[in-house]
Amino acid sequence: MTVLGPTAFAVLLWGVILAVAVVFAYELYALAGEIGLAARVRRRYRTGGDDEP
Amino acid sequence: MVTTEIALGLTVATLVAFTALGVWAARGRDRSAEAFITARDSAGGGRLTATLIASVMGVWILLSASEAGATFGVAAVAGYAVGEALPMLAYSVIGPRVRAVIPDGHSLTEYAYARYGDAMYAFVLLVSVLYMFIFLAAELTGIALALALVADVPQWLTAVLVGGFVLAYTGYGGLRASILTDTVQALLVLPLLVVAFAGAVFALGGAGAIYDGIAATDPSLLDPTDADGFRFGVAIALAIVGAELVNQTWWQRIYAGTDGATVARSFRTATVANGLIVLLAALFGVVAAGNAAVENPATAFFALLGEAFPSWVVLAVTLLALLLVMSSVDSLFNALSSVVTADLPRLLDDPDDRTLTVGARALTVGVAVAAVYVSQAAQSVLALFLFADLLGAAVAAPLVVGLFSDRLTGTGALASGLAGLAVGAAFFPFPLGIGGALRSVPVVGAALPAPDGLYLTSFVGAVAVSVASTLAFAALSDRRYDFDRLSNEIRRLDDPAPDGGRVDGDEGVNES
Repeated sequence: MTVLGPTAFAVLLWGVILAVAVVFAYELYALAGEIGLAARVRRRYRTGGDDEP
Repeated sequence: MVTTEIALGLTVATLVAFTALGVWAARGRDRSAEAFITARDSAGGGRLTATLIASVMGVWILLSASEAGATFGVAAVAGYAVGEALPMLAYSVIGPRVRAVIPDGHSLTEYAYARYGDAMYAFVLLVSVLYMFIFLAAELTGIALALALVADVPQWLTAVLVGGFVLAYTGYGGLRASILTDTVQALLVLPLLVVAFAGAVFALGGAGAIYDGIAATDPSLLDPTDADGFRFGVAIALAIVGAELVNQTWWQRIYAGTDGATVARSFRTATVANGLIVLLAALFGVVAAGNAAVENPATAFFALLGEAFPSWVVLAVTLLALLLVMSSVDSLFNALSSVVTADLPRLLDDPDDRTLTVGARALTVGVAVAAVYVSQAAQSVLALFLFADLLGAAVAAPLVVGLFSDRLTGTGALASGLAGLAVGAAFFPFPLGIGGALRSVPVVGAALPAPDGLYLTSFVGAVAVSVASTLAFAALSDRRYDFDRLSNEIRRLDDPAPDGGRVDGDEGVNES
């Protein structure tokens, strides 16, 4: 029997939780890009807050 | 302990909010039957990925995925995750191909009819509808069971509330409403998964304490090479792949994507996302087995919740379970009604759009009522689920190969599917005395092998025979199918083909 050690188990457990968090961040980024939110933020940053419609 | 009133209040508030969102999404939009079941070219990469995640992530991830982890350990956990990821990877190739050869299509059954004829169409229709309906009933059973365990909510009340509210927005807004609500649900489900599971790790004293609990209870759960876990893991992976390849939910979303490249990219992203989510959920079955008094592995995760968890974690998981159910149930309502709606122009005599729209909505209502009823009558659907998976595993290869090979005939496809099913069924451990009855049949019963309680022989047999037979029929055939027939015969509902896309047997296959 080859049992996972405590360190490997901890890495697996926290690694998967972290990976799902990264998936959420990626999905949020993709959706923001899709609705033009990222472009609006970039435009606002470049123009110092004068966001053109 | 979360009170019944708080759980019910949270449930109703969530259901009302998403019903309003779904109705809002459909207001002022195209109300044709075509839009109701396809939402063609409407979803960009972000929304398509979100709906690919939300549609399949039902409450089953907290029940059956956890059950697999609690019973068979990390080897089965890996199998479950791989099984859930592989169909998405397959669709990243199949999706663009489907859009290329059937640009105006709606469903896999109309493809089966046009490509292979009546018999294969009937087989695929049976398999697809059976699988999706069992999935639907299992979801309603699962959320009813979960809320009863967490807050003593009567099971019939949960099933009726969830079924009723989801029906309201899906019946009104169709696929467009489903995709929008799926998007919001995915954005809530993903962080809730992270918060709930991370909260559970802290509540149990950290990864080290959790590990000690598992090692003391059953160290074989931590063995990735455990034979039973590996056998079950491979079987469940094959079962899921086969079943998802006949799931109409994905065919609808192939057409909902803005273009083929977006579809391929979204399915690839969903491969990673869905694999990770199931890995996390199933891993918590292992955690539960070692850190809670698990009397019934099917509710291992909820048994873990009962172990003096803070109320906020319990509430977060309750909300998570509800969102998971809504996101898959709305997709399944619409997918089930779309399978039949896409065939109505062929079954009825030149119906107008109003007839098709009313038909699609009536079918959605019918599916919802039947699913709520079955969810109350059948408290355990695991065996049925696995048999539906077996049907999918048998029929998937000829369906997919027919998209790429012009040599496979309808007869060859049907024979391959039936051969795979026969071998898989011979090893399948049928419940409710069905296995015993089969084995008591003279001659046939004596020839049947012993059933495999871990399902591996059954699923490997079904897939191997189906694939080998499909490839053999394609290699030996001297006929050629003209793929242009698919785009000519399968048309939009508002632009039906003169003959309704009818193909008799191998009529569409020409001698080379």
